[in-house]
Amino acid sequence: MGFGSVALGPMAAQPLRAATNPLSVREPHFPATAKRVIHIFANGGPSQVDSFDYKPELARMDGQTLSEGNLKTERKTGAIMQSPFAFKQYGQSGKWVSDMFPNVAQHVDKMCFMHSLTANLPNHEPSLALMNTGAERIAVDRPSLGSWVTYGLGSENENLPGFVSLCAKGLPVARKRNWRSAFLPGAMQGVHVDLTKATSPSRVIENLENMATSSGMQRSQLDLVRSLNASAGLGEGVERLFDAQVQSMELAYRMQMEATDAFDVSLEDERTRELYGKNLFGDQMLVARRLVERGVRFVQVWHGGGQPWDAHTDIEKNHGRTARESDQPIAALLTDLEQRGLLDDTLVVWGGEFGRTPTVELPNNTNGGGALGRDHNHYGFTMWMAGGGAKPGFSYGSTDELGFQAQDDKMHVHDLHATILHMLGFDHEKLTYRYSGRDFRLTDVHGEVIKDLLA
Amino acid sequence: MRPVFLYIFFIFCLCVVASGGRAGEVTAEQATFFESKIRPVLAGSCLDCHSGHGATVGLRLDSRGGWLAGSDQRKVIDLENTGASVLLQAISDHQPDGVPSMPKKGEKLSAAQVADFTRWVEMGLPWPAHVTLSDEKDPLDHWSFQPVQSPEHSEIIGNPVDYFLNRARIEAAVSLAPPADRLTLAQRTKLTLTGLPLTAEERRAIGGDFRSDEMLHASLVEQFLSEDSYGEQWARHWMDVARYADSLGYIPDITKLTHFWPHAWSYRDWLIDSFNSDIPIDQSFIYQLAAHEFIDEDGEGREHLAASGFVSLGRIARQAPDTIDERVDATFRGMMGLTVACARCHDHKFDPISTEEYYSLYGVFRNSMIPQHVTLEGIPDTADGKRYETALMEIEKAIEEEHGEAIRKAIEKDPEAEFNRGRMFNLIGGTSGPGIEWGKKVAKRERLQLASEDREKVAMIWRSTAKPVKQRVFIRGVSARPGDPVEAAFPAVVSPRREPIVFKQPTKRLELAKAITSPENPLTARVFVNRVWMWHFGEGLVRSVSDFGLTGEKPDHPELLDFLAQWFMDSGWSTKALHRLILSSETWRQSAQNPKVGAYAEVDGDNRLLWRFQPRRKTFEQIRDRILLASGSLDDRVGGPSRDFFTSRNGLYRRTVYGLVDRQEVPLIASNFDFANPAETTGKRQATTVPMQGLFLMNSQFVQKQAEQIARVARRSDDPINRIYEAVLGRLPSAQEETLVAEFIENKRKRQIDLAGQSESGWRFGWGEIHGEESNLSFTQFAVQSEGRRFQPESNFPITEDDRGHVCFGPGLIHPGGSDAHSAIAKWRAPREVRGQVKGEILRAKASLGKGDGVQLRWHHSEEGVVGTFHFPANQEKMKLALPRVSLKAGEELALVVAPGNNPVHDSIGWSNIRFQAENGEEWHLLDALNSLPPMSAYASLAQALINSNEFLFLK
Repeated sequence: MGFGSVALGPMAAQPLRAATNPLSVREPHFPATAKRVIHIFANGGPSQVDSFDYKPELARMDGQTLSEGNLKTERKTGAIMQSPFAFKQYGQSGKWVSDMFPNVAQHVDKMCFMHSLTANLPNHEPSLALMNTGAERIAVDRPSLGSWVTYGLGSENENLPGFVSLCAKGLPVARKRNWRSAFLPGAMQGVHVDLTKATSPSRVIENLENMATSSGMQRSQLDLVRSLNASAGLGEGVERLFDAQVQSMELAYRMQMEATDAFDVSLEDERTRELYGKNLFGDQMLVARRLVERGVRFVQVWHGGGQPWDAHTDIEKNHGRTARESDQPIAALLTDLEQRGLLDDTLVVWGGEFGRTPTVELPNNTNGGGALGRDHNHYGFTMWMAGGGAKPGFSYGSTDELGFQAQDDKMHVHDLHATILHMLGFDHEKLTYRYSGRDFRLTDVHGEVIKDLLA
Repeated sequence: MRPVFLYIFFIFCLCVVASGGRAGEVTAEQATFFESKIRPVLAGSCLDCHSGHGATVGLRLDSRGGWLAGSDQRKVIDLENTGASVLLQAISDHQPDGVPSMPKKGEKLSAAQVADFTRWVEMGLPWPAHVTLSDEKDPLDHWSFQPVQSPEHSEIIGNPVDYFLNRARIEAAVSLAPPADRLTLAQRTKLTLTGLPLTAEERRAIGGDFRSDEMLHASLVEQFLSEDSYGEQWARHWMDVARYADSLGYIPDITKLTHFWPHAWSYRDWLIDSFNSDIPIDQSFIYQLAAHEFIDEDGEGREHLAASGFVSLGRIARQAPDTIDERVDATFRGMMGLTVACARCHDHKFDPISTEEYYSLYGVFRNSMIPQHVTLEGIPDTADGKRYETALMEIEKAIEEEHGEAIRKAIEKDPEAEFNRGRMFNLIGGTSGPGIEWGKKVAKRERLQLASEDREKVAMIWRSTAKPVKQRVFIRGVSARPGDPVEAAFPAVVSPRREPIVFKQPTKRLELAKAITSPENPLTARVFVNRVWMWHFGEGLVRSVSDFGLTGEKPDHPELLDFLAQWFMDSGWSTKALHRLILSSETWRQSAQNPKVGAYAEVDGDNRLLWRFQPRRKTFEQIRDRILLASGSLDDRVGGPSRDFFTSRNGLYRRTVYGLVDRQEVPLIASNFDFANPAETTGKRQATTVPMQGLFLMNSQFVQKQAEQIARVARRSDDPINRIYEAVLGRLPSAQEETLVAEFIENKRKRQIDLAGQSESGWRFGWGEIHGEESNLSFTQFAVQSEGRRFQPESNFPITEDDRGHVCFGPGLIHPGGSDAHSAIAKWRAPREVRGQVKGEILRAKASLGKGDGVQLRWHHSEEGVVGTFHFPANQEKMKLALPRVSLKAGEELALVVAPGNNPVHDSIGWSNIRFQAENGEEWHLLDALNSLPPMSAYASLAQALINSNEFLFLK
């Protein structure tokens, strides 16, 4: 089905501006509090009880086994293990945060914590698929959240992709499927950028840089193309399709400059570079800001290839490192967005595909887990949002006294998706795409907007 | 009685059996009760949300069936134990946990009303037969489920396509566009049939042909249909539908396995052959669904076993039910335009397909899960083939020695594991056992296979099991919740007399294939002719080409569709005959330009009346193939293993249909050009226009290299511009174009580097060194700019005999010579007094990281001497060219001097974006100097411009 004939559900009333450019800006269903999203993906599954979900009971019960047995996660787990990280209270909200995130903790009063998230399975692939596409079955091909958002809103900057996925040092588990557009047009697919792979900002996107022709030369070449198109009598001016093609070539031409700038962190002043920390994760965060600032709709920042947060062994060492890498850059992003007035309508979301058990991982299991690690846990985990209309200084839901299982105000990943779409101005039940004989949506038949999370 | 009623009765019975309720006659008393007590409340309080297709939570209270079916999540009525009925609880004055209070909007029901509903449920939901509370029509009346009804042939005058369309056109007062000119039509026809443009000889022949337009056209159609490239083009169309890929499904990285399935191409090659030899489509579908059920492994026609790829090459999921479901879906959407897979968890919401019917089909594929490889052709007896064989045997031997026993045990336990490598991995020990070792070896074997041209051709088949499992409905689609047993059968709605065809033979896939290709099947021929129509005209007569069900679109010209479907079957399901019929019509032969375009666009903007030929962008394949053809690089061999589109040595110049398709990750550039997503069957590709396409056309090395090649060939002639036009667009330039192009080339010449002076960018290149106390700079300008735009000492470069070594300066490349005296130099002359700084970056390729001793970089100011010195160590990947601001008077120069250091090896470095940036922002780019093109490169630039033109990119 061609994009031009797509049933845009309630959006059908406003025809696509240029019928063939699927990235043209479109209005959502109702006024939005967020215009764009930065999703920081702590892939591998960060532990809630070591970061933002403070459970003093763990210390008291350290080493004990639960009389009723542990919840069944991927593998059998052992005794309760207290957090190796110290917690303290921050901000006016008095939020408890561990010393994993001393810099992020400075921002608790603008953050909105969700402590009662649940997913369906304790395995990486299905949980990544659920978090990214709303469908945990790996066998089905569904568009990612970023693709849905780009489909719904288009992109505010036609010289840049609408959806960028920053992931350095390899790819996450399930690879590029995490940002696929599936049956949505290819233009809504996340464009993967590995900042460590490109030797210069102009090479982060395939074919962005012309190695053989200068921009001046290219300009005159493009002018020639335009004149030839006009003289060939192909009905330019009459044929919308041909006009769209000409416009698209112009866009590509401008994109070379604009996109190169967008990825060039060296154009930032020294103070800003220092704020983010001059390292890979800092650069990624800075690029994320530069992208949303330029109108990119959805930026996903992955912690890195593989599953860096998957602390089956020695949680102190693993989480200590991953947190150290990301704490300052994330805090800097929040500071920077706020200073630039961007935080008001940029939604920042942080979290993994699930959390971890408060109990210790048993050594020598099939997963190769060693000592003092925690296993996967989908029964209850923490994510947070900031900006974009998320209620500041607020904590929603809770887990049990050990942080194992969501208890009050349980919230499924579908609810998170529904709420994010709501903030972007969409009724998640109406943002649909007709494919294979039915209307698909991100939340399938699930999802409720959690109104409490809205400022 | 019309068959429709039979069907309703059938479903009705199912409901009754399933629910155990009474559904007999509704008494007059019950009818009155319904009309007075139930219907008004339903209409006033319930149906706003719970009616029709979009009913909230899928619960439809507008029919008795809806009450019984319940919501997406659960049943709402329990006729055995009415008190347990969720719906009654919901309308009562208090609800148990998990039951919402209803109605959600408006007044709660009164106690009396609740009592009425309770009583009505206790009566067994008596619903008078004539009462419909929904304004929807009976799905069985849907047009596509009716038999194909072809109008009388005798009443048709002229070409049937034109006959039917003209009737519609006359009614809407629009008329055909004038005929397209001979060349345009021939070009269009060749592209639609073969995917390739006319050759120069063909154009000349057409120009000199004295036959009538019609005779010429007819003979060209025959000619194109007889070319091998016809099969390549039409196989690719069907590959979209067959969700073709060279990989099976998701396999976790941890297994070390690759995603790829190195034998998939045998199916693709079979498709090419089948279109070229015009195997009737009914027969083709039978081969594709069931070849192995009537052809022996070594019997006659064994080459048709490759057709099984249609079933075998879908995604292999971790869970067998997903694999099977995918096959049901691809088969029915692909061959019949029916979305039966929607009935996996609940009855189809729109089409009359029940869950029972879905599992009747599911069972056919479920009992066909025994994998088998059949070698159709052995390894070719060539040098490459022998090398491949030796390497393969070595790996096979290692696999056999270390894992042979485990593999056999695994297959014994789970036959499917032979094709399901994720499962095999787990069965032979996973990560903690020898799984990874096995995975590495298999990946090695696959990489060898993927890299080899001369290798065996293997068909992949899933055979039926000797001991079929009795299939049951999986309640809510969950295989762990088996329900009632079902027979293998074909859905009633598409069976003759609207009774399910029960498959009784052991060869159930063959029976299924026969039911699909039965002339009485109302969908198969319609769906296929509609696809062929779309592949010619860009849109189908039914625009939702893979959904002919209730949610699909209606045919624009139903009589034409039915005529074509019937005609197609009567003509022995011959695709080529269908092409001849369609392409001989005036509708096909008309121009893309209709003088009345303005007025007609008002009446019929979608061009559903086909009042002109609708232009469209060429496909990714057509664009890539045509570029290769223009440069003379296209390798037109037919068939063989798949190769990566852009990177592999062997694959680069083959037609795109031979490209390696990874189901998990289609190359971004292909998907940006709307390549079919092989995750599921694709009916119609997207048609988008996005800048990433432009970036590919303007900047990709692939396009640039082909443009250079076009220029190289053209330069050998006296009139290169004409040759470039012929190569790229297949024609000579018009007078107007000649002027434009001449101007373009002339401008390039003006900008061409003046070797005695300097380019407009102010940069020039040479070699020399900084010497003496005063740090003087010696400088010899390079004499030559090579075709790759590299500046170098002389034309027979590279020379290595003297110390100059490889000294050169090129796009993205700096190479100092063999000694400091032959440092590479780029020098910028200030056009006026200016203050500013140098910006940019130098880079080192990963391959030379850590090798040699690095290079020395110095900045030399013509008045101030050396103003900056940097060492670029061998282990560093990149470095910013940081230099404090400098001031230059007009004519003063700033030079970048790159010296080899002590060890003149591995000194090649890259650079990016080097420029002098004045304080006011004005910039002078180094690259501009390199690109002040000599005339030959202007030709390449012209060739590329033509590739970027709409004439090249569009079919019209």
